[in-house]
Amino acid sequence: MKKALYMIASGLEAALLIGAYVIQYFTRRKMGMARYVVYKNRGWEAKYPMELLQYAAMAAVLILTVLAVAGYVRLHRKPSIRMKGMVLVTVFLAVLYIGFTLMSGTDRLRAYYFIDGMFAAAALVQGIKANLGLYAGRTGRRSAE
Amino acid sequence: MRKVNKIFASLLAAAMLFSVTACSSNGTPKETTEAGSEGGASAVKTMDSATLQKMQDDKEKKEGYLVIDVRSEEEYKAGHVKFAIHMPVETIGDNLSAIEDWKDKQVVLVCNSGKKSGEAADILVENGFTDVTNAEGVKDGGYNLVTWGNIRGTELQKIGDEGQVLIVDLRDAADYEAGHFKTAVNAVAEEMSGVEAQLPADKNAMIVTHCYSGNRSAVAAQALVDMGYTNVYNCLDGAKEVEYVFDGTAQPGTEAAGENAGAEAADQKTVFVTPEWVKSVIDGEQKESENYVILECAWGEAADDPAYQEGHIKGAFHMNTDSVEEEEYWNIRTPEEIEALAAQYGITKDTTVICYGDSGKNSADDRVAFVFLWAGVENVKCLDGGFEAWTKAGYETETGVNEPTATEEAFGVTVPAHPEYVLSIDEVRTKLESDDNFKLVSIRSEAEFTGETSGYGYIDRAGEPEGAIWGHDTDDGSYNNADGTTVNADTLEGYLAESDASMDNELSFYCGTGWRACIPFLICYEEGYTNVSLYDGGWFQWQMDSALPVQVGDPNSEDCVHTTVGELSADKAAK
Repeated sequence: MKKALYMIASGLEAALLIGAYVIQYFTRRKMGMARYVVYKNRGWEAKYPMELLQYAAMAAVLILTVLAVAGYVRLHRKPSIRMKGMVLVTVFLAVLYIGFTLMSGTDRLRAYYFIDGMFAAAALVQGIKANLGLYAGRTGRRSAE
Repeated sequence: MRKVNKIFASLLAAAMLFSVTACSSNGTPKETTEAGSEGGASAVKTMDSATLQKMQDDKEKKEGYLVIDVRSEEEYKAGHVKFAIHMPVETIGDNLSAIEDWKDKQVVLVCNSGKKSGEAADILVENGFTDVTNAEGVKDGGYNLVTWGNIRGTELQKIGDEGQVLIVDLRDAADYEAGHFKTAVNAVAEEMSGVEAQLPADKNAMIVTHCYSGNRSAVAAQALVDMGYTNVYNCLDGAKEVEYVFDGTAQPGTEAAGENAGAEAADQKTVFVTPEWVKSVIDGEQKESENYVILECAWGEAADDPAYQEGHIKGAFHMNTDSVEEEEYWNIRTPEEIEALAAQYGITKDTTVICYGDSGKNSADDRVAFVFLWAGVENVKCLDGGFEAWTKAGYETETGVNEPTATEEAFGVTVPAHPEYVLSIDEVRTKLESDDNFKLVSIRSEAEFTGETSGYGYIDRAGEPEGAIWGHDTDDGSYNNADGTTVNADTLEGYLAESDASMDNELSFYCGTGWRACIPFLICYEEGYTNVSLYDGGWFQWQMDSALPVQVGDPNSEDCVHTTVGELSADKAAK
């Protein structure tokens, strides 16, 4: 069950990252797509506090990443390669998402909100997955002891 | 001479009819008994593929009947019955004048399975064609298919008069010397390699073959296809059947397509120009040659524009339409931005700006041309038929990205020099409410006009500003002649008449966001009309204000719903 969830989460992350690429690709190459994206950008900016939402998402990703790194350092003195990889990917996605959010914008990239949302979702899924893996794994071992 | 030919053709047709009737005892061709047409003058006969193939192979009988392939252009180009001309079933009813002379002779229709040709046959019978045969479909096999096309004599005369396409004349040298089309080269059908040097380098360039009766030219057409040419046409009506008006006896050796055959000067107000004229500008033969830019107009950056990357007119710069349109309503950018853009491309009011898109239907070039006219450029042109026409004419293309050289010279006039060319949404509202002579003309598809769809993935609501009339769509070819060139104001007048409007009204064209509407504006501008403008905001801007009045449906019908934008459903975006 745990393995299945892990696989689903990993697949979802991959799909989000590929989706971000596809959206950017077609926004550059299809006028209808570009205009749709611009139209949506304007709608979202008018309806939602986009900046606030972005900061909230960044804070969540940051917290999950810090927790994952802390858990990795404190709880796993002899970490498995898989655990190392998971924490590295968590940090990578967090840096990618936060860096992209802070350094880009709709003036540079029309599909900015779409891509940003997908990066955020991927980083959040990875953060949750890593923390569950780290802390649930530890709890599991303790109860076994 | 023509009379004799007609009598001869009639006799052949009669002989053909006789032989065809004689064959009916063994099943082909036979008369159908459907739709109450049994035994009547309007009966549609059928014919199997073997019979038609046999007729096609008989050079003598070829003149007695006309084969029409009614499938799509792609299907026709992929392979068709040897001497079949192409008239898609969707448009055959509108083009009957082209085959009017076959009303009393045998017309054989072919498609893939016999269904479309059956529909076309019914159309012909309904329109008075007396000898119509529906042949076995191409998919059923039995035919030796060819990929070169066939055209009629009237089309050859037109192509010859225009002087933009290479014509391979397969008649004897003496007849050729006595008179020929100005872009014709003389050749022997079996020795086409002898004229290889005079053929266009571009294998996609259009080439037409003709001779005395359409047989030698068919051999030459096949030879050209074998040489790798993809756009070859054989003229069915040879010089024995049609008295062509040749426009020159000059030796054309170097005048073949791909080289300038001498273009006439174009008036400053003329917008739609031929490939020949553009070529002559490039070659330094026009007054415009001193100061011009050529813009390949398309949406997107040059790096993302496959059309520009694959090939463009030599020296052409890519113009991204986003450079002339702002992002809120996709209206024309501010005068300051347009002036800066012009400077970036080295354009002042005295520069001749030649725009083109990938085809005659594409309105990207018309949009850019309109913007520069509005800004104040005095001489703006659009290559009629677009890049398609350019390559068909066999003119040189190049790949790679050209970067324009910016100018520091002042534009020369305050931008916009012609603010009157554009109406704002408020001006349109006021005029619709208070000016009976004002007509807001929708240049959109019928489905868009009647509110079935917005036509755009990013526009949720469908309908039209209340009071708008329909001026037909440019995307569906309603503003193009059969050869892809742009129609004149007579066509527009016909569309206006459908809504009891005329060229005497004050006309403001609009579409979704302002591209398509530029075409009728430019047509009117070229013909000197000053009572025209562009409502730039189009339906996109109109449907953003929930209080604005709209109509959904045909305004001439009682079913038309009159409401406001706010009441419209928001599920009409194009899927």
